[in-house]
Amino acid sequence: MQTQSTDSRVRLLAIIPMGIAINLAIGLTVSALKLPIFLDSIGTVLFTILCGWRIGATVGVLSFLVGGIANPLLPYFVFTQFTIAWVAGLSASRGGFKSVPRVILTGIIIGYAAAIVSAPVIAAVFGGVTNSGESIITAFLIKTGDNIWQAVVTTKVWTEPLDKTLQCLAAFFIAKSLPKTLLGRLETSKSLIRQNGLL
Amino acid sequence: MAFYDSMTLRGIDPWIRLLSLGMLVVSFSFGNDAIAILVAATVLFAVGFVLNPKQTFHVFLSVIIPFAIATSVVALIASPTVASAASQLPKLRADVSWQAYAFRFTKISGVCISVSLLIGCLSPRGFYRWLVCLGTPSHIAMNAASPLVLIQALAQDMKTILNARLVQGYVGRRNFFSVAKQLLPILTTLVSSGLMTALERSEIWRQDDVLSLIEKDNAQVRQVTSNRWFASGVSLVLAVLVSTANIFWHPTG
Repeated sequence: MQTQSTDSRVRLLAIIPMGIAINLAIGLTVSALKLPIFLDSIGTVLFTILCGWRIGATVGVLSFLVGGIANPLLPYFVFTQFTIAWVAGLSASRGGFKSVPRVILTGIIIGYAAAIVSAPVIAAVFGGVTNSGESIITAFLIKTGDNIWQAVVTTKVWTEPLDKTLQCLAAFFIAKSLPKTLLGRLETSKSLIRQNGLL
Repeated sequence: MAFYDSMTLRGIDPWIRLLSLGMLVVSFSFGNDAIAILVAATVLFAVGFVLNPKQTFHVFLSVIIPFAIATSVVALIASPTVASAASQLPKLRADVSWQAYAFRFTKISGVCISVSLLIGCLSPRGFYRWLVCLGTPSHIAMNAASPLVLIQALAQDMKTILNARLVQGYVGRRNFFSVAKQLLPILTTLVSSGLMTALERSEIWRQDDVLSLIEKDNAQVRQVTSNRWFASGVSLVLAVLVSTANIFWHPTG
Protein backbone atom coordinates (compact mmCIF):
# COMPACT_ATOMS: atom_id res chain seq x y z
CA MET A 1 0.00 0.00 0.00
CA GLN A 2 2.83 2.36 1.02
CA THR A 3 4.79 1.48 -2.15
CA GLN A 4 1.72 2.09 -4.31
CA SER A 5 1.25 5.52 -2.76
CA THR A 6 4.95 6.35 -3.23
CA ASP A 7 4.81 5.12 -6.84
CA SER A 8 1.84 7.32 -7.53
CA ARG A 9 3.56 10.34 -5.92
CA VAL A 10 6.67 9.78 -8.02
CA ARG A 11 4.57 9.46 -11.17
CA LEU A 12 2.71 12.67 -10.38
CA LEU A 13 6.05 14.36 -9.69
CA ALA A 14 7.05 13.54 -13.27
CA ILE A 15 3.69 14.13 -15.00
CA ILE A 16 2.46 17.38 -13.40
CA PRO A 17 5.55 19.54 -14.19
CA MET A 18 5.55 18.14 -17.74
CA GLY A 19 1.83 18.97 -18.00
CA ILE A 20 2.50 22.53 -16.85
CA ALA A 21 5.41 22.87 -19.28
CA ILE A 22 3.27 21.47 -22.13
CA ASN A 23 0.43 23.87 -21.22
CA LEU A 24 2.86 26.81 -21.35
CA ALA A 25 4.57 25.45 -24.50
CA ILE A 26 1.20 25.32 -26.31
CA GLY A 27 0.96 29.08 -25.78
CA LEU A 28 4.47 29.43 -27.22
CA THR A 29 3.53 27.25 -30.21
CA VAL A 30 0.50 29.39 -30.98
CA SER A 31 2.56 32.56 -30.79
CA ALA A 32 5.35 30.97 -32.89
CA LEU A 33 2.79 30.10 -35.57
CA LYS A 34 1.52 33.70 -35.33
CA LEU A 35 -2.08 32.54 -35.03
CA PRO A 36 -4.49 35.26 -33.87
CA ILE A 37 -6.12 33.00 -31.25
CA PHE A 38 -5.68 32.26 -27.55
CA LEU A 39 -5.31 28.60 -26.65
CA ASP A 40 -4.58 28.92 -22.96
CA SER A 41 -6.64 25.96 -21.75
CA ILE A 42 -5.89 23.12 -24.19
CA GLY A 43 -3.37 21.61 -21.78
CA THR A 44 -5.79 21.88 -18.87
CA VAL A 45 -8.58 20.12 -20.79
CA LEU A 46 -6.18 17.56 -22.25
CA PHE A 47 -4.67 16.59 -18.90
CA THR A 48 -8.15 16.43 -17.39
CA ILE A 49 -9.16 13.88 -20.06
CA LEU A 50 -5.90 11.94 -19.69
CA CYS A 51 -5.28 12.08 -15.95
CA GLY A 52 -8.51 13.14 -14.22
CA TRP A 53 -9.84 16.50 -13.07
CA ARG A 54 -7.59 16.85 -10.02
CA ILE A 55 -4.41 16.61 -12.09
CA GLY A 56 -6.03 18.74 -14.81
CA ALA A 57 -6.87 21.42 -12.25
CA THR A 58 -3.36 21.23 -10.71
CA VAL A 59 -1.81 21.57 -14.16
CA GLY A 60 -4.10 24.50 -15.07
CA VAL A 61 -3.75 26.40 -11.80
CA LEU A 62 0.02 25.88 -11.48
CA SER A 63 0.51 26.79 -15.17
CA PHE A 64 -1.11 30.16 -14.58
CA LEU A 65 0.76 30.71 -11.29
CA VAL A 66 4.14 29.70 -12.71
CA GLY A 67 3.38 31.55 -15.98
CA GLY A 68 2.83 34.59 -13.76
CA ILE A 69 6.61 34.93 -13.45
CA ALA A 70 6.79 35.85 -17.14
CA ASN A 71 3.30 37.36 -17.45
CA PRO A 72 2.00 38.67 -14.10
CA LEU A 73 -1.54 39.03 -15.50
CA LEU A 74 -2.04 35.25 -15.71
CA PRO A 75 -2.48 34.49 -11.96
CA TYR A 76 -5.67 36.56 -11.90
CA PHE A 77 -7.30 33.75 -13.92
CA VAL A 78 -6.30 30.71 -11.86
CA PHE A 79 -9.85 30.15 -10.66
CA THR A 80 -11.02 30.05 -14.28
CA GLN A 81 -8.52 27.25 -14.93
CA PHE A 82 -9.78 25.36 -11.90
CA THR A 83 -13.37 25.70 -13.12
CA ILE A 84 -12.45 24.57 -16.64
CA ALA A 85 -10.76 21.43 -15.26
CA TRP A 86 -13.64 20.71 -12.89
CA VAL A 87 -16.35 21.05 -15.57
CA ALA A 88 -14.24 19.16 -18.13
CA GLY A 89 -13.71 16.35 -15.61
CA LEU A 90 -17.41 16.21 -14.80
CA SER A 91 -18.23 16.04 -18.49
CA ALA A 92 -15.49 13.48 -19.24
CA SER A 93 -16.83 11.19 -16.50
CA ARG A 94 -20.15 11.17 -18.41
CA GLY A 95 -18.52 10.48 -21.79
CA GLY A 96 -18.44 14.13 -22.85
CA PHE A 97 -15.34 13.54 -24.99
CA LYS A 98 -16.65 10.46 -26.81
CA SER A 99 -17.61 12.07 -30.12
CA VAL A 100 -17.36 15.43 -31.88
CA PRO A 101 -20.98 16.54 -31.12
CA ARG A 102 -20.46 15.70 -27.44
CA VAL A 103 -17.17 17.60 -27.40
CA ILE A 104 -18.90 20.63 -28.91
CA LEU A 105 -21.58 20.46 -26.20
CA THR A 106 -18.87 20.12 -23.53
CA GLY A 107 -17.01 23.10 -25.00
CA ILE A 108 -20.15 25.25 -24.85
CA ILE A 109 -20.81 24.27 -21.21
CA ILE A 110 -17.16 24.92 -20.24
CA GLY A 111 -17.36 28.24 -22.09
CA TYR A 112 -20.35 29.41 -20.06
CA ALA A 113 -18.71 28.25 -16.81
CA ALA A 114 -15.47 30.07 -17.72
CA ALA A 115 -17.47 33.18 -18.64
CA ILE A 116 -19.20 33.24 -15.24
CA VAL A 117 -15.89 32.92 -13.40
CA SER A 118 -13.68 35.21 -15.51
CA ALA A 119 -16.14 38.06 -16.21
CA PRO A 120 -16.03 39.50 -12.65
CA VAL A 121 -12.20 39.53 -12.73
CA ILE A 122 -12.08 41.23 -16.13
CA ALA A 123 -14.72 43.80 -15.16
CA ALA A 124 -13.55 44.58 -11.62
CA VAL A 125 -9.76 44.34 -12.00
CA PHE A 126 -9.14 45.18 -15.64
CA GLY A 127 -12.13 47.42 -16.41
CA GLY A 128 -12.94 45.23 -19.43
CA VAL A 129 -9.47 45.44 -20.98
CA THR A 130 -7.52 42.29 -21.76
CA ASN A 131 -4.86 41.66 -24.38
CA SER A 132 -7.34 39.73 -26.56
CA GLY A 133 -9.52 41.03 -29.38
CA GLU A 134 -12.67 40.57 -27.31
CA SER A 135 -11.83 43.82 -25.49
CA ILE A 136 -12.87 45.66 -28.66
CA ILE A 137 -16.33 44.05 -28.52
CA THR A 138 -16.56 45.09 -24.85
CA ALA A 139 -15.56 48.65 -25.79
CA PHE A 140 -18.24 48.84 -28.50
CA LEU A 141 -20.88 47.57 -26.07
CA ILE A 142 -19.83 50.25 -23.55
CA LYS A 143 -20.08 52.80 -26.35
CA THR A 144 -23.65 51.70 -27.05
CA GLY A 145 -24.63 52.41 -23.44
CA ASP A 146 -23.87 49.26 -21.43
CA ASN A 147 -21.92 49.65 -18.20
CA ILE A 148 -18.60 47.76 -17.85
CA TRP A 149 -20.18 44.78 -16.09
CA GLN A 150 -22.97 44.32 -18.66
CA ALA A 151 -20.51 44.76 -21.54
CA VAL A 152 -17.98 42.24 -20.17
CA VAL A 153 -20.63 39.63 -19.31
CA THR A 154 -22.28 39.97 -22.75
CA THR A 155 -18.91 39.70 -24.51
CA LYS A 156 -17.87 36.67 -22.47
CA VAL A 157 -21.19 34.89 -22.95
CA TRP A 158 -20.72 35.15 -26.73
CA THR A 159 -16.97 34.58 -27.09
CA GLU A 160 -16.11 32.02 -24.38
CA PRO A 161 -18.30 29.14 -25.66
CA LEU A 162 -16.75 29.53 -29.13
CA ASP A 163 -13.22 29.78 -27.76
CA LYS A 164 -13.60 26.85 -25.36
CA THR A 165 -15.33 24.68 -28.00
CA LEU A 166 -12.30 25.14 -30.28
CA GLN A 167 -9.95 24.32 -27.40
CA CYS A 168 -11.96 21.22 -26.40
CA LEU A 169 -11.94 20.03 -30.02
CA ALA A 170 -8.18 20.56 -30.20
CA ALA A 171 -7.66 18.66 -26.91
CA PHE A 172 -9.97 15.86 -28.14
CA PHE A 173 -8.13 15.45 -31.47
CA ILE A 174 -4.73 15.53 -29.75
CA ALA A 175 -5.90 12.88 -27.22
CA LYS A 176 -7.27 10.74 -30.06
CA SER A 177 -4.00 10.99 -31.99
CA LEU A 178 -1.82 9.91 -29.06
CA PRO A 179 -0.41 6.38 -29.30
CA LYS A 180 -2.62 3.79 -27.55
CA THR A 181 0.40 2.35 -25.78
CA LEU A 182 1.06 5.75 -24.23
CA LEU A 183 -2.57 6.14 -23.13
CA GLY A 184 -2.45 2.65 -21.64
CA ARG A 185 0.45 3.68 -19.43
CA LEU A 186 -1.48 6.55 -17.85
CA GLU A 187 -2.86 4.51 -14.98
CA THR A 188 -4.06 7.56 -13.07
CA SER A 189 -7.23 7.81 -15.10
CA LYS A 190 -7.56 4.79 -17.32
CA SER A 191 -11.29 4.60 -16.66
CA LEU A 192 -11.83 8.17 -17.89
CA ILE A 193 -9.82 7.43 -21.03
CA ARG A 194 -11.87 4.25 -21.64
CA GLN A 195 -15.18 5.99 -20.90
CA ASN A 196 -14.48 8.43 -23.69
CA GLY A 197 -13.46 5.73 -26.16
CA LEU A 198 -9.85 6.87 -26.41
CA LEU A 199 -8.42 3.45 -25.53
CA MET B 1 11.27 33.13 -20.70
CA ALA B 2 14.45 34.73 -19.56
CA PHE B 3 15.68 34.49 -16.03
CA TYR B 4 18.41 36.68 -14.67
CA ASP B 5 19.53 35.70 -11.24
CA SER B 6 20.57 39.06 -9.85
CA MET B 7 22.87 38.71 -6.84
CA THR B 8 21.30 41.53 -4.86
CA LEU B 9 17.71 40.43 -5.39
CA ARG B 10 18.64 36.78 -4.79
CA GLY B 11 19.88 37.65 -1.31
CA ILE B 12 16.49 38.72 0.03
CA ASP B 13 15.20 36.53 2.85
CA PRO B 14 12.28 34.31 1.66
CA TRP B 15 9.76 35.68 4.16
CA ILE B 16 10.83 39.30 3.58
CA ARG B 17 10.42 38.65 -0.15
CA LEU B 18 6.88 37.34 0.39
CA LEU B 19 6.01 40.18 2.79
CA SER B 20 7.37 42.84 0.42
CA LEU B 21 5.50 41.34 -2.51
CA GLY B 22 2.26 41.14 -0.51
CA MET B 23 2.53 44.76 0.63
CA LEU B 24 3.27 46.00 -2.88
CA VAL B 25 0.47 44.01 -4.55
CA VAL B 26 -2.10 45.04 -1.92
CA SER B 27 -1.07 48.69 -1.98
CA PHE B 28 -1.14 48.88 -5.78
CA SER B 29 -4.53 47.15 -5.79
CA PHE B 30 -6.12 49.43 -3.20
CA GLY B 31 -4.25 52.69 -3.77
CA ASN B 32 -6.54 55.49 -4.91
CA ASP B 33 -4.33 58.28 -6.17
CA ALA B 34 -3.13 58.02 -9.76
CA ILE B 35 -0.05 60.23 -9.33
CA ALA B 36 1.13 58.40 -6.19
CA ILE B 37 0.76 55.03 -7.93
CA LEU B 38 2.49 56.28 -11.07
CA VAL B 39 5.44 57.56 -9.01
CA ALA B 40 5.62 54.29 -7.03
CA ALA B 41 5.50 52.15 -10.20
CA THR B 42 8.18 54.31 -11.83
CA VAL B 43 10.46 53.99 -8.78
CA LEU B 44 10.07 50.19 -8.81
CA PHE B 45 10.66 50.10 -12.56
CA ALA B 46 13.87 52.10 -12.08
CA VAL B 47 15.02 49.71 -9.31
CA GLY B 48 14.22 46.73 -11.57
CA PHE B 49 16.04 48.40 -14.45
CA VAL B 50 19.19 48.76 -12.33
CA LEU B 51 19.12 45.39 -10.54
CA ASN B 52 17.47 43.08 -13.04
CA PRO B 53 17.35 44.76 -16.48
CA LYS B 54 16.72 41.63 -18.56
CA GLN B 55 13.58 40.51 -16.71
CA THR B 56 12.31 44.09 -16.33
CA PHE B 57 12.59 44.71 -20.08
CA HIS B 58 10.97 41.35 -20.80
CA VAL B 59 7.90 42.22 -18.72
CA PHE B 60 7.84 45.75 -20.10
CA LEU B 61 7.91 44.66 -23.74
CA SER B 62 5.80 41.50 -23.54
CA VAL B 63 3.18 42.51 -20.95
CA ILE B 64 3.04 46.23 -20.18
CA ILE B 65 3.38 47.61 -23.74
CA PRO B 66 0.71 45.25 -25.25
CA PHE B 67 -1.57 46.02 -22.30
CA ALA B 68 -1.00 49.76 -22.81
CA ILE B 69 -1.95 49.42 -26.49
CA ALA B 70 -5.09 47.40 -25.62
CA THR B 71 -6.05 49.96 -22.95
CA SER B 72 -5.60 52.85 -25.40
CA VAL B 73 -7.71 51.15 -28.08
CA VAL B 74 -10.50 50.32 -25.63
CA ALA B 75 -10.42 53.79 -24.07
CA LEU B 76 -10.51 55.37 -27.53
CA ILE B 77 -13.65 53.41 -28.42
CA ALA B 78 -15.41 53.36 -25.06
CA SER B 79 -14.68 56.73 -23.46
CA PRO B 80 -17.67 59.04 -23.90
CA THR B 81 -17.58 62.02 -26.23
CA VAL B 82 -18.67 65.40 -24.88
CA ALA B 83 -22.15 64.90 -26.38
CA SER B 84 -22.67 61.33 -25.07
CA ALA B 85 -21.15 62.12 -21.67
CA ALA B 86 -23.94 64.53 -20.92
CA SER B 87 -26.54 61.81 -21.36
CA GLN B 88 -24.74 59.25 -19.18
CA LEU B 89 -24.84 58.80 -15.44
CA PRO B 90 -21.82 60.34 -13.66
CA LYS B 91 -20.82 56.90 -12.23
CA LEU B 92 -20.81 55.26 -15.66
CA ARG B 93 -18.91 58.21 -17.14
CA ALA B 94 -16.25 57.92 -14.43
CA ASP B 95 -15.80 54.17 -15.05
CA VAL B 96 -15.03 54.53 -18.76
CA SER B 97 -13.19 57.84 -18.95
CA TRP B 98 -9.58 58.09 -20.15
CA GLN B 99 -8.54 58.88 -16.58
CA ALA B 100 -10.22 55.72 -15.26
CA TYR B 101 -8.53 53.52 -17.88
CA ALA B 102 -5.14 55.16 -17.27
CA PHE B 103 -5.56 54.70 -13.51
CA ARG B 104 -6.39 50.98 -13.84
CA PHE B 105 -3.49 50.53 -16.26
CA THR B 106 -1.04 52.16 -13.82
CA LYS B 107 -2.24 49.98 -10.93
CA ILE B 108 -1.92 46.76 -12.97
CA SER B 109 1.50 47.80 -14.29
CA GLY B 110 2.61 48.42 -10.70
CA VAL B 111 1.59 44.88 -9.74
CA CYS B 112 3.39 43.46 -12.80
CA ILE B 113 6.60 45.37 -12.02
CA SER B 114 6.48 44.26 -8.35
CA VAL B 115 6.09 40.59 -9.32
CA SER B 116 8.83 40.89 -11.92
CA LEU B 117 11.19 42.58 -9.46
CA LEU B 118 10.76 40.14 -6.57
CA ILE B 119 9.91 36.81 -8.24
CA GLY B 120 11.12 37.24 -11.82
CA CYS B 121 14.71 37.50 -10.62
CA LEU B 122 14.67 33.94 -9.28
CA SER B 123 16.23 31.11 -11.26
CA PRO B 124 14.24 27.82 -11.32
CA ARG B 125 16.43 26.52 -8.47
CA GLY B 126 16.07 29.80 -6.58
CA PHE B 127 12.30 29.62 -7.03
CA TYR B 128 12.29 26.04 -5.67
CA ARG B 129 14.37 27.08 -2.64
CA TRP B 130 12.14 30.08 -2.01
CA LEU B 131 9.02 27.89 -1.97
CA VAL B 132 10.65 25.28 0.29
CA CYS B 133 11.91 27.95 2.72
CA LEU B 134 8.34 29.25 2.95
CA GLY B 135 7.29 25.80 4.16
CA THR B 136 5.85 24.48 0.89
CA PRO B 137 6.14 20.66 0.79
CA SER B 138 9.16 19.83 -1.36
CA HIS B 139 7.23 17.76 -3.92
CA ILE B 140 4.80 20.64 -4.51
CA ALA B 141 7.73 23.08 -4.80
CA MET B 142 9.29 20.74 -7.34
CA ASN B 143 6.02 20.58 -9.29
CA ALA B 144 6.02 24.37 -9.44
CA ALA B 145 9.71 24.98 -10.16
CA SER B 146 10.68 22.22 -12.59
CA PRO B 147 8.34 23.40 -15.41
CA LEU B 148 10.58 26.47 -15.64
CA VAL B 149 13.39 24.18 -16.78
CA LEU B 150 11.20 21.83 -18.85
CA ILE B 151 9.56 24.67 -20.78
CA GLN B 152 12.93 25.67 -22.24
CA ALA B 153 13.54 22.12 -23.48
CA LEU B 154 10.00 21.88 -24.86
CA ALA B 155 10.28 25.25 -26.61
CA GLN B 156 13.43 23.96 -28.30
CA ASP B 157 11.63 20.72 -29.30
CA MET B 158 8.74 22.73 -30.67
CA LYS B 159 11.07 24.86 -32.82
CA THR B 160 12.71 21.69 -34.18
CA ILE B 161 9.34 20.12 -35.04
CA LEU B 162 8.09 23.32 -36.68
CA ASN B 163 11.28 23.75 -38.72
CA ALA B 164 11.19 20.10 -39.80
CA ARG B 165 7.62 20.50 -41.07
CA LEU B 166 8.58 23.69 -42.87
CA VAL B 167 11.53 21.93 -44.56
CA GLN B 168 9.33 18.95 -45.48
CA GLY B 169 6.96 21.35 -47.21
CA TYR B 170 3.91 20.76 -45.01
CA VAL B 171 3.64 24.49 -44.51
CA GLY B 172 3.64 25.67 -48.09
CA ARG B 173 2.34 29.19 -47.95
CA ARG B 174 2.41 30.97 -44.64
CA ASN B 175 -1.25 31.92 -44.49
CA PHE B 176 -3.63 31.43 -41.58
CA PHE B 177 -5.19 28.13 -42.74
CA SER B 178 -1.97 26.40 -43.80
CA VAL B 179 -0.32 27.34 -40.52
CA ALA B 180 -3.40 26.49 -38.42
CA LYS B 181 -3.49 23.04 -40.04
CA GLN B 182 -0.01 22.42 -38.62
CA LEU B 183 -1.09 23.21 -35.08
CA LEU B 184 -2.62 19.80 -34.27
CA PRO B 185 0.23 17.62 -35.64
CA ILE B 186 2.81 19.80 -33.90
CA LEU B 187 0.94 19.78 -30.59
CA THR B 188 0.29 16.04 -30.81
CA THR B 189 4.00 15.36 -31.33
CA LEU B 190 4.87 17.74 -28.50
CA VAL B 191 2.37 16.22 -26.05
CA SER B 192 3.26 12.67 -27.03
CA SER B 193 7.01 13.14 -26.59
CA GLY B 194 6.51 15.14 -23.38
CA LEU B 195 4.28 12.48 -21.81
CA MET B 196 6.61 9.69 -22.88
CA THR B 197 9.56 11.51 -21.30
CA ALA B 198 7.57 12.06 -18.08
CA LEU B 199 6.59 8.40 -17.83
CA GLU B 200 10.13 7.19 -18.48
CA ARG B 201 11.46 9.68 -15.95
CA SER B 202 9.02 8.41 -13.33
CA GLU B 203 10.32 4.85 -13.89
CA ILE B 204 13.90 5.99 -13.32
CA TRP B 205 12.97 8.12 -10.33
CA ARG B 206 11.15 5.23 -8.72
CA GLN B 207 14.35 3.19 -8.79
CA ASP B 208 16.41 6.09 -7.46
CA ASP B 209 13.95 6.74 -4.63
CA VAL B 210 13.72 10.39 -5.62
CA LEU B 211 11.37 11.28 -2.77
CA SER B 212 14.02 10.60 -0.12
CA LEU B 213 16.54 12.59 -2.17
CA ILE B 214 14.15 15.53 -2.26
CA GLU B 215 13.63 15.31 1.49
CA LYS B 216 17.41 15.47 2.02
CA ASP B 217 17.66 18.44 -0.33
CA ASN B 218 14.78 20.02 1.55
CA ALA B 219 16.74 19.87 4.83
CA GLN B 220 19.83 21.37 3.17
CA VAL B 221 17.82 24.18 1.59
CA ARG B 222 16.44 25.18 4.98
CA GLN B 223 19.98 25.37 6.39
CA VAL B 224 21.19 27.49 3.49
CA THR B 225 18.65 30.24 4.32
CA SER B 226 20.63 33.38 3.63
CA ASN B 227 21.86 35.76 6.22
CA ARG B 228 22.06 38.73 3.93
CA TRP B 229 20.26 41.23 6.07
CA PHE B 230 21.26 44.20 3.97
CA ALA B 231 19.33 43.09 0.85
CA SER B 232 16.37 42.03 2.99
CA GLY B 233 16.38 45.28 4.95
CA VAL B 234 16.55 47.45 1.83
CA SER B 235 13.78 45.42 0.22
CA LEU B 236 11.53 45.75 3.27
CA VAL B 237 12.17 49.49 3.67
CA LEU B 238 11.50 50.11 -0.04
CA ALA B 239 8.32 48.02 0.07
CA VAL B 240 7.07 49.85 3.18
CA LEU B 241 7.82 53.27 1.65
CA VAL B 242 6.20 52.48 -1.69
CA SER B 243 3.15 50.84 -0.07
CA THR B 244 2.68 53.75 2.35
CA ALA B 245 2.93 56.20 -0.53
CA ASN B 246 0.39 54.20 -2.54
CA ILE B 247 -2.15 54.14 0.25
CA PHE B 248 -1.66 57.43 2.13
CA TRP B 249 -0.07 59.93 -0.29
CA HIS B 250 -2.57 62.03 -2.22
CA PRO B 251 -0.67 64.60 -4.33
CA THR B 252 -3.76 65.34 -6.44
CA GLY B 253 -5.76 66.10 -3.31
